[in-house]
Amino acid sequence: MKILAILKDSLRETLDVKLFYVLAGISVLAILFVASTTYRPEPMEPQVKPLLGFVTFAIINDFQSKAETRGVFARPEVSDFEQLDPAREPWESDHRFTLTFDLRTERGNDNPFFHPKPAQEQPEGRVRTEKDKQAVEAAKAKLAPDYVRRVLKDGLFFVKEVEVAPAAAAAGEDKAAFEVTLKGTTFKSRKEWFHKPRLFFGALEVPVPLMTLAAITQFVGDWIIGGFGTSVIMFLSIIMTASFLPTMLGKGTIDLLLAKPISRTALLLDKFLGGLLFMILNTAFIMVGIWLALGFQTGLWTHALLLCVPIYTFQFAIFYSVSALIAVLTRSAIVAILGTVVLWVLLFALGWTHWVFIERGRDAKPQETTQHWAYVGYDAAHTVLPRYKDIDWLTTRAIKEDLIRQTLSDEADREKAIKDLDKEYGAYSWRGSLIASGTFIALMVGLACLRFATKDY
Amino acid sequence: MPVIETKNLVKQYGKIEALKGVSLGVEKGQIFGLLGQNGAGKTTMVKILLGITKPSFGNALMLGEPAGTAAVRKRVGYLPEDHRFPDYHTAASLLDFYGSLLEVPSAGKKKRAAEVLEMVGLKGRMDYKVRTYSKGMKQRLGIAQALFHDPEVIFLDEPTDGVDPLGRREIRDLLGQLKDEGKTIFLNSHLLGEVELICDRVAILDKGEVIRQGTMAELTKQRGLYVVGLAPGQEFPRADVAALGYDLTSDGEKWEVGLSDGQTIDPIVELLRDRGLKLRHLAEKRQTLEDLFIQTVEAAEPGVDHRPRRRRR
Repeated sequence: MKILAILKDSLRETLDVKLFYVLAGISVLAILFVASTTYRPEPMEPQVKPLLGFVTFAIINDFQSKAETRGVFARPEVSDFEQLDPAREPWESDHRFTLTFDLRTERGNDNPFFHPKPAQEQPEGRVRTEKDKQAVEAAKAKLAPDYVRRVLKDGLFFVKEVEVAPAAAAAGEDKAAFEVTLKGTTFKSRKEWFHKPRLFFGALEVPVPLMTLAAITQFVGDWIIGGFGTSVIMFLSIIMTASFLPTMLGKGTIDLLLAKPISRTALLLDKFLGGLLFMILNTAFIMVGIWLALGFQTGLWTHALLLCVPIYTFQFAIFYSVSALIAVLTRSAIVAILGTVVLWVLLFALGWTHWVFIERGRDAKPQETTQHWAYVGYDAAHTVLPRYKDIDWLTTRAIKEDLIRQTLSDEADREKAIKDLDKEYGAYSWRGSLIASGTFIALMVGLACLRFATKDY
Repeated sequence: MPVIETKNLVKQYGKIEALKGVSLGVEKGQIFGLLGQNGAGKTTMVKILLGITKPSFGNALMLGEPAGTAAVRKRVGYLPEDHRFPDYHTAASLLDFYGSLLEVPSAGKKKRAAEVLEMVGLKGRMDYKVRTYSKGMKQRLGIAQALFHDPEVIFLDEPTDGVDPLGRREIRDLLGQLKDEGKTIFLNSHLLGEVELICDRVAILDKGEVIRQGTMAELTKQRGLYVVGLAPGQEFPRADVAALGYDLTSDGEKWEVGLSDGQTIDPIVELLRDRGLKLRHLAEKRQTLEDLFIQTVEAAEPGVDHRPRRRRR
């Protein structure tokens, strides 16, 4: 089988390039990095505290809307936070804590929500008029347990039930205190719960906001590896493979091949496939590695990450087809690299501008004459040229959908989230993107074959 | 029926005619040498025969079929001039790769690789990367790949280029052995001495035209010129020989005797015997291939080797 011989030859050529080992090294480091990153479920307390800020904001809004409580602000203080069943996971257990609202008036204190200084650090000699005292009293009256339970239930959206009882012991003159019990959460598994990543098997905490495992998986798989990582791999692969065809077409080398009983078209196509083999090996190595590492660490087996192997290879084929045509025309690796990079920048810019100015702008504003021609121009370029960025977005969409299906246990939530995805990425389709890009690849490779088949060497 | 036959082969590159109606024939089992200056069209000729370059006009047949088809290429071995092997291969892996392209059965490839590499003296280095080879070793490997699939016709473009004298002799012996096996060998070379030693027939190509062709004997024979030498200390009877009507030219201690039409060397031999002189050297003088080549090319275009100017765009 001649094709196997040429693929084997391409593999040998690949393994001979030092940059391949640099790439493999980068991939190994990336996989090890992801594999050594652990995700510890955070306790309930850090989830609740930031949300209490929003709850308090709602309470203050209520205060300002009524004449008798206008001017009163509340600062929430949480104490004695306790997981009632420490043996269970945070999202499965009930929790209890004491919630105290420190009530202040506007004149006595700046807005405590935006300047949350502890009570003992408040300026001395706060001005407290009779009217202030009345307002604070009215606010205290407003903060009935049932009211507090309602606002807490709204704010702590993932908690199943909230029980609130007055806590007289903690309350002072300007304070209202409650014993709050959170009964269970709507989360059914670890996948939906908030985690914090820790690098190097927990040795180093990453200062990032709390994220669910699904969000972390999407961030690492799609953005860090799929976006940045594969761009690096794509760029290095373009540089490395750009020399494959010029080397084959070099004087003294091509004569040896053309004297063999193989058609020129088959020779070029097989060599082209050999270049793609290089990309498949690289992306398969890193994406399978990341898929395994993330899967073992998070329990989320995001199969869409594996889809990235053929997708990224297809994207690479767009650039490699141009590289092949330039190589046949010029026999120069440098010119092939330059041409390919120019195309990459062009497609990247076209993809982004089409997304930002056309897909978003088209609906936002009525089309004026000048805009109309811009739309026509962009649409024409977008239709004819390969849709490199569209494929990127469609890949992101596939990963997000996979994660939604795995993590959202409620069917209605799942359907809603998928509908949101459809809305966000609805302008792009696999069919259109693959047909436009595939046609471009076929055209470039066809022209390269035509030139190669008819040229005298 | 000739193994290689071309009729009025023309190759044009724009306004430049690299071949101007070349007609050649090479019989089975011959070693055929194609001579010519740089740019004479030798490599173009070979590339047309192998289908690497397409002729503008004319016909070329090889092994009874149109030259350059895949079926014909399968039966042909080729060592190009200035060939460059992918240096990530070892000799063994390179032969395996080319063998696959030549449709050599997998089962016999390894054994055959060892055989041909032994033939060219590279068996001990078959697992070393090509990049570690000297120029001479690469040349030997080139010959090995040309012979790998046991072809019927072998094209060798400067096969001894970069090879040391001992290696050249080995290659000459190898070509002789291949000839004995019935292979047809088409040789392009600048080393006229070697061509003279091994070729049965040669053609001289000049600016795309065949200006001489024939067997080595036909081309190098110089009729009517003999070299005569006597035993040391004996004086050649110059005046008496001249009196017989021969032209004489001193060639060191020997004499070159020129014969006119109808004359033979026999009267001189009898004269020397009658005088009691001892004949130590008597040979019909042949011109070397180099003499012939220079003479032929100079005759075709005195002053030589100017190249057509590149057309301005």
